[in-house]
Amino acid sequence: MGMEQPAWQQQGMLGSDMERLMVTMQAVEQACSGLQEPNNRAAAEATLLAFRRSSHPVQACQYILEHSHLATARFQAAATMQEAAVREWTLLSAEDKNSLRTYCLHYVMARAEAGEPFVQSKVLAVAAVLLKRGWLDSVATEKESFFNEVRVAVLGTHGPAAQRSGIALLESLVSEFSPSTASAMGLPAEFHEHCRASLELDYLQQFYSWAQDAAVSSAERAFQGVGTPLDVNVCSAALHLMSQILNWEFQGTLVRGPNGSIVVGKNRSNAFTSSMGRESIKRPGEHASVVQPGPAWHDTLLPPNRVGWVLELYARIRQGGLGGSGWIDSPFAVNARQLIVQLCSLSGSIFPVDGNTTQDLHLQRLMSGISPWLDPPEHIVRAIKSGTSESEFLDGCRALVAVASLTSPSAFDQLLRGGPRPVGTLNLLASLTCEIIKASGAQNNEEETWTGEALDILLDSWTVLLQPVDLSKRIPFPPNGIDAAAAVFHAYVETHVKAAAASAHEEGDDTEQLRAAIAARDEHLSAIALVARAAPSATVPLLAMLISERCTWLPQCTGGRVDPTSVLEELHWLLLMSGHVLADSGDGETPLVPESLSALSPGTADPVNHPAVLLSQASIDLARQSLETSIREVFSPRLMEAVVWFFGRWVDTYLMPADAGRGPNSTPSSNEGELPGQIASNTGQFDGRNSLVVAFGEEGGGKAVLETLVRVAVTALTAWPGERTLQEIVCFQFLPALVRRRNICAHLVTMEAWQELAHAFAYQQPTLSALAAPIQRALSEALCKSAAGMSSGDATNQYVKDLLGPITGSITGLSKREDFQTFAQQPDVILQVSCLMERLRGAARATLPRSQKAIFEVGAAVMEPLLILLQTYKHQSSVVYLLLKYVVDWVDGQVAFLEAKETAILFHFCVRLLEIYSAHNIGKVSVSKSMNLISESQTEKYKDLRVLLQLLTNLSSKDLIDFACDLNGEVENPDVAQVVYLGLHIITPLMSVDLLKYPKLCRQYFTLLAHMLEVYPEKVAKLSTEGFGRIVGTLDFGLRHQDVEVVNMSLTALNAVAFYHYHAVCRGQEGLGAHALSTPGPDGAPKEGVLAHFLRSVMQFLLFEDYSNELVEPAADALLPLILCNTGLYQKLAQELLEGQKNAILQSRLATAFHVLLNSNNVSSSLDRNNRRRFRENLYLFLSDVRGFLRTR
Amino acid sequence: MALPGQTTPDNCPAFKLVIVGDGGTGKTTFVKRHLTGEFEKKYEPTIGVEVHPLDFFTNCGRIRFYCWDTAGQEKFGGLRDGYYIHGQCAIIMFDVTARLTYKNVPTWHRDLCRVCENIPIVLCGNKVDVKNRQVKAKQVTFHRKKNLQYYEISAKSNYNFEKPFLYLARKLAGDVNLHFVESPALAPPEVQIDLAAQQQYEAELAAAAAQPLPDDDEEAFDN
Repeated sequence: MGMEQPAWQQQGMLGSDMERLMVTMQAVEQACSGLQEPNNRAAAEATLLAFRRSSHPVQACQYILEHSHLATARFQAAATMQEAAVREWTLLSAEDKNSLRTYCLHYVMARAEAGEPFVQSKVLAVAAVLLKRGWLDSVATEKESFFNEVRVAVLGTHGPAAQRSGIALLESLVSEFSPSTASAMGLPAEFHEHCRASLELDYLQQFYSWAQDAAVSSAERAFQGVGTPLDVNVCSAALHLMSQILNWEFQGTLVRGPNGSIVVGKNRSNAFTSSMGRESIKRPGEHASVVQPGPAWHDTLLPPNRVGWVLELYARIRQGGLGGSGWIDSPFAVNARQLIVQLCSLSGSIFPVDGNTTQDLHLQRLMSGISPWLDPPEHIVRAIKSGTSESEFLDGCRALVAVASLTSPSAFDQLLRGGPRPVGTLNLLASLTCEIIKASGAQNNEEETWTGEALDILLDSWTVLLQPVDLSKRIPFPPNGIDAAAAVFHAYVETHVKAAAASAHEEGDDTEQLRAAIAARDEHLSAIALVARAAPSATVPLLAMLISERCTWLPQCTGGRVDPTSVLEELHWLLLMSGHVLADSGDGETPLVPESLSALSPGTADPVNHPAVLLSQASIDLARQSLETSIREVFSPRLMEAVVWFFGRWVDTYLMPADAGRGPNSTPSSNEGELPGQIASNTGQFDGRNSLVVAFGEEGGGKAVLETLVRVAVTALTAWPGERTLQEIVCFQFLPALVRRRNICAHLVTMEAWQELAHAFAYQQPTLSALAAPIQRALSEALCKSAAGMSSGDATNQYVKDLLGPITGSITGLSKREDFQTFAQQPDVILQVSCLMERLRGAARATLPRSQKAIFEVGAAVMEPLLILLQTYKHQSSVVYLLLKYVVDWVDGQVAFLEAKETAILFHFCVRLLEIYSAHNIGKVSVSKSMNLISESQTEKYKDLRVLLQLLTNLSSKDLIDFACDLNGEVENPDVAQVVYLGLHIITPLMSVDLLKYPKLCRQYFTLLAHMLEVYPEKVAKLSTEGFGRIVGTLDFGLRHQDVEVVNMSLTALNAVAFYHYHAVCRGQEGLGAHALSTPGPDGAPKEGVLAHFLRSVMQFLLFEDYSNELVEPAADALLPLILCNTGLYQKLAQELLEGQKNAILQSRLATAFHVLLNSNNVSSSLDRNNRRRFRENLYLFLSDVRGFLRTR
Repeated sequence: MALPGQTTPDNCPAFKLVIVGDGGTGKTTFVKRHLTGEFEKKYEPTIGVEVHPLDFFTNCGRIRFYCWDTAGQEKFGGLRDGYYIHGQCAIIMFDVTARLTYKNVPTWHRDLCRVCENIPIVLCGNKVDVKNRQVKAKQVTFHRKKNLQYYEISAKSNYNFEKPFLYLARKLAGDVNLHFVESPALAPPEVQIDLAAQQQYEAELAAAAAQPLPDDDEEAFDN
């Protein structure tokens, strides 16, 4: 195919060729129009896709590009050209390739002024792809002449339009060579890596300089008014390119080898994860994206006149308003600011090691340029509120957070001191934050997002200054910084207390209840709490004072004299704020007192005056008021929610701390350095820590506080019936916090208030029985957990039995009623049964080693009744579901503890349960007629199935735990086998690919499958061909799944099957037997045995697919036994791969790698642990060696 | 932009909105949520593209987005950027519970910007209702470099559902004060269905038998 001159320009071209091109063009044009019409879309798509896949379409593409009047057709032609050229690359001659690149460049340049922008950029993208595709083969002179042409264009020799196109080409190139945006082109990952490295080392800096030169000259023309309107566009595009280049993921470690080749630092993870899209995810706290181009860039980026030029340029855009009234959001201004923000983010070895002098000067220069965007804050915020665009201000905030994350607090503070308006940067940050707080509080329009965004960024700045990722930067705040933090917190509290009061009569807080909304709110409050903790002696007493003050107002509101709503809302907010300031959220850990609070001295000899004690005490006093019937009438349930939320958080950190007397060591906000045991109690001096111990410790005031809190919890649970959210917070957050630690439980079980609660629960007192079923479950769980506080195991068991005895009695009683079949169907009975199930489930979830016996006995006592219930409620899916859920949790809690006899009881019960379930459920799905019913029953099946999968997983884990048992004779518990069989019998027919589309069900299914195959491979081997085939089918599905966990489980399952088979065969047994053999397929051709089939799949997966690094290990574990089972096939596959590799060097690399995989490191044909470990290591090396050139993209 | 074959009501400005993002991030579910109010639990990959008109009512009248819901999975991609032409605004979706989907955002963005110059784009992190997030809000920094608006959304609970549309509508209308006057016809969020159902359950024993129980995952405090 001669590409030097397009065929249709050749003399004597055949008319029929011409016609063919015309026809193709018309077809493409028609399809492009058809794409807009819903009815024709499918056909149009098919036509265009066929065109893309057609062989040798380049000629037609060029014809369309030049002749079609339809821009969309030209676009499709360009897309087709890209796809085809990459696909047919190896068929093209060197000249073809070169001329194709030049074609694209010339096409765009020739139409630089008039071309449709999206076609132009597509053609440039094609040029970039082609250039990269041939990057490593093309000789230096070719590149040189190409780039020479580009450089001439970029520098403006052919006028601004061509200049803009040249810049656009460079932009396409940079994006094509950048790993996160590279196009697929069917090449090894190694290739992409080399291209990236080559561009970074040899071209990127040049491109930057060209762009900078273009920007300078075009800006000059624009400002002097001597050029064309296009000059602004050119300058803007150049700035955009410059910031795009700074966005590059600089490797920095690249070096040139002795022979001039680039040495890419080998990094294990690169070999497995796709190198595409490696935009690294920043750690929390690393807010600004850091730009680290390395020392080579020093002279390009840091010279004062270069930085000064950009700042000057922007200042002139600002003054001259180039870009019209909307200049602030014009691409020109946006791109200039973007570049400035990125210059603020420069860090690393680009700066010489000179004690930060260069960096500080650089940042000072930038900050003085940026400060007009931010300073004076009140002025700027006012302007935005009256209609000026916020984008310059937001960019200023972004620059600020970038700078803050690179400097220490004191260096940050100095940056503006030398400027025209000397001010501490911390003070500027504080007044900005205050202004934004006021602005966001004042407007009630929630949809206004700029203040929210600005506040987020500013709080991020505080966070990076107060809690830098780099701990060496963590030095104390200068005093003006502490005052500034206090001022910010004051403003925040003032605005929000006011807003809370104002919201008192607003309707609807429903969105506040969503998990995401709560998480967002908490994150925000945590950030502001960090600011508060920077100035604790000012901020904590403020909160204490505000709460105490309002607390004294409440009694005056009783009897309807004064409307308390505003005060209640204020308190609600104050408690949320105080909770965040005083304590971190534990997430299951026990967070310590924040370091700045515990380091604070009370100021007087009386520990009661410690600010944290004052604030805690104020909150306790408030909570205590809810116990007074007369005052309780003014308490809103919402306030009560905040009260119980506050103590749910507070208790973990402050109440009877178990390690009282030890220094802080683990909270995120605590400081290292202080040694444990440095407490000064024996000196008679109170510091923060022992003040708190005196106030709330076990020996101090802790017991009295606990007593109060229990009463508050009971009140909150019972005094506002129907307030579901309140009850949820009590039972799911507050009570669990109270029973989390055993030393507190020991006090709880002796307390009258707790005993009363337990008694009311056990005897099903109406107030508690009226609570929603899940809340009863949580209450049951908390009460059972508190049994841990009993002094002995016997006492613990007795406590639990006393709690649950009456419930067992109720269930047994119900099931024994003569009229139960009819009685059971009454709505109130259904509700009662549901609640009883939930109470049992809560208790089961609270199983402790010390209470396990009691909970087993309770469970055993209700086994018969439960079977009756299951039978009776066969049509009440909700009851069946709860019942199964209980059994799941019960088995889960028990299975690790049980002796053989008890195990038999439990398994026997489960078998009967499954039998009854399957008798009523198998084969039901197809009964439904309407679509709706089908999907309804599917949803139900889906939920039941998930529970069953859980149950079977729990049951089959028994053997894993007890691997040491049954040494003498009794090899297996017959019931286990029965359960597994029955389970598979129920699950496999229901398990359709359709059901596996439910992501959670899918995960659970594969978890179970992996378990089953690991523990009972011999049972699975005995399944019928059909049943076994179903499992194999789902494993195929699992291996291709998007979810890493599902793939992992599938590999584990494969490992188990192959492992079992190999061992059996070694012992002369049949293993999988017929399943492993190839069988004649329906069409007569032999169908491969299952192990051979999976060997192929796993090899294919490991060598060619994109997967996460963590899958290599399970894949190695599956691969080794699969190879051992099918050595012949393995050899054949390796041979095929070798033959497919045409490049002799790569072929020999591959051959060596295959040899090493199975021979080095003493790998043998055993499957013991050591050998598998050695094989894993080999596989890692193998993959990092060959995947680079085998895998294509 | 009124499309042939689809009649746009009189006086109703219409815009082509392109929705892109990796497979399984919830693009189709998001669009369906507006169309039918239903939340689709199952995952069926989209093939090629599906176009749906979505109407919103603002203080300045009705506005219509023709949503081009494109395939995220490469093997079902169809024409890919061929669908973006003449797009007037866009949503890039990723899944906060799957890190890889965020890593691919730069490619989606680049492809969009190549075809559609300077159009308003919203980045949406979906599935924020799910407990184990892999991408935390603070880790989402891509939009800051690119002048995009970012929203955390949950198609399941309707959280921030209309925010992306409002932002785009404001940008397209050039009116920062534009607002939606009628809530789009959403089904109540699932979480609330269950709470409401549960309250009814308590209040009216008679209805007990017919009430579905909440799925575990939708109980705010279950674990």
